[in-house]
Amino acid sequence: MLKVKNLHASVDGKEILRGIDFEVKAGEVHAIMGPNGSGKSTFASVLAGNEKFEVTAGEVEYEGENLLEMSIEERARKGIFLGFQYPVEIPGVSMANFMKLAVAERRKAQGLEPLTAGQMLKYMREKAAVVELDAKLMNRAVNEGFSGGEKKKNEIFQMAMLEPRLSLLDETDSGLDIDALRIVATGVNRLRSESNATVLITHYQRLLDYIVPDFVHVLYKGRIIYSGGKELALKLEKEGYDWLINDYKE
Amino acid sequence: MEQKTRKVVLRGAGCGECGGCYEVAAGESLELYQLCGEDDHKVRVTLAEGARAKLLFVASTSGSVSYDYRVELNGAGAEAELWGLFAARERGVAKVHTDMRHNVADCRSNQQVRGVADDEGYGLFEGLVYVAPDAQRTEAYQQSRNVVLSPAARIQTLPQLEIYADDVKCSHGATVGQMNEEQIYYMRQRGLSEEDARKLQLGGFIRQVLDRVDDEPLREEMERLLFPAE
Repeated sequence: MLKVKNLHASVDGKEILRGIDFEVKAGEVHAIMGPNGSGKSTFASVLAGNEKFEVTAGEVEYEGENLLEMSIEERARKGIFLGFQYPVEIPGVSMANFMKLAVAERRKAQGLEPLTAGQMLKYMREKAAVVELDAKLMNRAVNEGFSGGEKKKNEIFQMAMLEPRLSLLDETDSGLDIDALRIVATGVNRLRSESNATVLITHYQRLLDYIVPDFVHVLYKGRIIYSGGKELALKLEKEGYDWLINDYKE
Repeated sequence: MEQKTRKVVLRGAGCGECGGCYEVAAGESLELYQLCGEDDHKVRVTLAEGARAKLLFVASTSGSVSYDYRVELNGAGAEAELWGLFAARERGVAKVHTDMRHNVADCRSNQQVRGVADDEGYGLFEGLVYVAPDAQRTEAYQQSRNVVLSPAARIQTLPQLEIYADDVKCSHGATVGQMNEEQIYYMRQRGLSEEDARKLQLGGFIRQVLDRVDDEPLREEMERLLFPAE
């Protein structure tokens, strides 16, 4: 589904990603861990097409196509979803209206008929229930006045609405209490299937107790320096990153 | 106590050089809506004891339009809210001048005016809050928020407070900015085109004032004035 080869990216002339190799197949869940400032969020942003970052070298193939040539919205319409670490508030734009437009674009790209107003309403209620999000929030402006937990649930709600092929969840667990974490994780697990894939970017083992990854990668100084199975996360939790970092020669 | 409410709608260039003078008697209330795209318009409102006024204007032009609102709070307990939107397109000029005068104690006022300038448009907001020496326990708020949509568009905002009483709650804020790129990115990541995202965002900026219009046909008419058919 996704093949990343030797990806380099910079912001304001400073190189953040320094040669990432990474591959995701349908049905898989990957976790990317690593110390602060190692480039985890940048990697997700570059895959989503954030124009703040400049790709200076490397290739990214998504479903057999060159991802790096696509606009932000083309990537989204083709099924790439980014769950934001800090979801933005959009005053004056209602959740319902925003989702109506987003779902219409995604369905058009999937070759599906648009939903009627009634179907849309029902669909929104169903998906809101997946993450125990109060359906009343649909009448409010996007993320405005939402609590920290509601914002994160709202990201997973939008993921459920858009039925992505590849979900990149950037620190979705940060700032969540244990109940909200469980709800968010349950939502993500319910959306897992053989045809989609999930990349979790996280600091903590905690999330991986609830969403069990197939692979765990350590990103350090802009490169993936170590990969393993789910047991790697436990080892990192216990022993930290030092044993890896000390081994790592630039 | 049942309040007597007068509702006035002033439309188009036809509302003339003077939008009129309105005296709101003790305990009564006025709702005034004004929407114009051309010419200069003056509105004077005087509030007696316990009177209320809700004033809301929309100005949108590719030519020239100006509004001049003066509100005199002359009786204790009077309350005025002033909501406004102005938009200047092409080489249009939209000017708004407000003068909120707290002449006596125990009155409240709230001004919320938003401006948009596109192309080579120019917008100006001058808003004065005056609090007389005896007007203790005044509450007066004023906010001017503005966005410029193109490099050649300009907006100036000049909020002024003239306060001669010492026991007052007053605040004002003014911003001129561009559209928020983080919001655009977020919407595009959900599949909206850049154009749709910008439209939605601008609609949101304007809606925060238009939501104060309960009359739906009137609100739609205001939207059409702000977004003329392309």
